[in-house]
Amino acid sequence: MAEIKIEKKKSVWLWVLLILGVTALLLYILSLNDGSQKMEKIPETTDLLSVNENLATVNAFVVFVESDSNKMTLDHAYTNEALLKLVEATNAIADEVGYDIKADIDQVKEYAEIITVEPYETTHANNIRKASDILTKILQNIQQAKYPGLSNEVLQLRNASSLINPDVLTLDQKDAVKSFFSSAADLLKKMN
Amino acid sequence: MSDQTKNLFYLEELTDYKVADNYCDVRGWAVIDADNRNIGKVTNLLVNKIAERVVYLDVEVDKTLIQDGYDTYQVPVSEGVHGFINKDGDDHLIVPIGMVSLDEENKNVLTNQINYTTFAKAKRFNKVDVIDADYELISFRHYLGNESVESSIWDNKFYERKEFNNTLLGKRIDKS
Repeated sequence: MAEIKIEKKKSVWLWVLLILGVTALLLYILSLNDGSQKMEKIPETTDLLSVNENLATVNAFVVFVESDSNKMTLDHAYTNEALLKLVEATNAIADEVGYDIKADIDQVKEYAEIITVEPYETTHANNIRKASDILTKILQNIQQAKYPGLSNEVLQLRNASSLINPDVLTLDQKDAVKSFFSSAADLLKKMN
Repeated sequence: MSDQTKNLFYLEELTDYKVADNYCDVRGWAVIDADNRNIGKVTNLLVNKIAERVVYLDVEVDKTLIQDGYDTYQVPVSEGVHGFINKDGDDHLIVPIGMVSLDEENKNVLTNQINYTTFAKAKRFNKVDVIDADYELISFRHYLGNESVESSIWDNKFYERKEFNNTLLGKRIDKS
């Protein structure tokens, strides 16, 4: 007279896996958005060319470059210091416009450190070139967003960076390296 | 399980199955016979996997019933062949689902069709034993009270008999 039916258990693991999968996908998409904002997006505002920031770090870099520059030695101390000052100046300008460049700056600092550690290492020019390319890209992004009138200066900077040959000893292309720093100083002075 | 009972499983053996929603899981419920005596409790459910329903209740019988079975109903050897002997440790028996009704309020299984004497004289098994076709047939004949039921009833429609089906809806019919 009684009846007791049985049925298959519903698998909860399928739902758990589905939820985990969706969560992982959402996190991945969010991380992509964060990454893309670092290099590509700067908050849009008006042309800052007429605004005088007068940042100390920018002044320090400009002064360093424009002083007696016949200093490139075997231990690359000059290049290292110039790069670090350029990094600080670029960072200051980026902060002014709300541009997050921390990851790129850390990378450039690494390159700057490398060239002082092994003075006889022939890859220094390669590291200097990598650093100059990163900094050029950052400054170009800032220029396009905030300083549309400085496109020629950015072009000059890009050309100077491209003239640093990664396969040639740095001491054999001192002029190219110094030209890059001079172009950067010129651009940053006008941004400042 | 033998080939003849290959569709009979303990529910706990079927790890991907459970008692269906809206049906009672009577494991742990007391079993009350037609004389209104508690003869034991349901410890397991035997299911027909193809039909996806319970066909027997595995009942662990009360020690009193076992003792009464020895004292009152044990047939002496001198009185002839009696078919089987329940050994020590044989404290389980099976009850066809169609021969019980459920008192959900009190969590009791009611066997209006089977009285105390029938249960006491039933062949029992040890919980570790495999339930085979022979045992099923012996039990079935015993509950029907008809030892001459032919073994030919043992076919693929055996569990469609009324003793395994819900022929009456509702709860216990009070004899008083």
